[in-house]
Amino acid sequence: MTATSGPASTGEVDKVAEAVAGCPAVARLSGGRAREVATYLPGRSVTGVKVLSDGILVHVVGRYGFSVDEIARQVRTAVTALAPGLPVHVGVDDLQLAEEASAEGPAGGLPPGP
Amino acid sequence: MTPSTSTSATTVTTTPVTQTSGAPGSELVSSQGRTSIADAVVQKVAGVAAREISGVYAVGGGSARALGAIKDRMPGTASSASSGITAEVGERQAAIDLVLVVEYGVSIVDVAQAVRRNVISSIEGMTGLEVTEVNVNVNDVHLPSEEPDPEPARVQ
Repeated sequence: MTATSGPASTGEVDKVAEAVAGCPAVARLSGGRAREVATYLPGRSVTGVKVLSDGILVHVVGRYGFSVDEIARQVRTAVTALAPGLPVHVGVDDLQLAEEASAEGPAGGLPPGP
Repeated sequence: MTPSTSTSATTVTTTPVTQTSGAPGSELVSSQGRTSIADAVVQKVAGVAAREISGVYAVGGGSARALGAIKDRMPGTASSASSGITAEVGERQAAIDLVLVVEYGVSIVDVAQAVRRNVISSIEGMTGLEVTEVNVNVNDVHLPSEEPDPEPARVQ
């Protein structure tokens, strides 16, 4: 196993995306400023996950109320469980406020109160 | 420019904050990977923190709102929750410019200082970034008679 032999296959990128989206502090995956963070696959792409030469890049929109440290910690824990030993670079692109979340419909756990 | 003719725009640009302590637990670069924080994150935290202060009628206003309407259409820029807020985010530090409309009758200096304190503690607590300055720009005073205002515009 080399350092870059992590989620190289398409199924593993999907698993990483799913695990990250399931974190309580994560509202959704994010493609970054210019949607540059994505893994391109035949016929589709997985937004927010990209395999770099020195690790995995994951970009998310966090839930307001969680600290950035906590968001990054949860994402790292989720990804490390699937790809042990690889550095996980986390980008927090935005925070979703509670009222924005309700406008989009419930998508998991609620952020903590004020 | 300002929505009201009865109030003249008041601009109070206050001096940068002297930082008391380093960013708490800022582990943005670790052996397990980097953490990057986008401007929009800091803007949103600053916006919520500013609206929490009583005496703040609105964040943004006047030209900032007009600019916000344009910015909303640009990809990658912040949402209306961050209108009137500019954030410059480096690897470990952030600087924030805020445009506020305050309630008539409040001490603008006191409100600006309360906003600054709350913005700094929120950003440092939630992002771990060290806040080097918060420039508060009060560009209007809201009079109670200006509008019936059926919905409260600020956080209770």
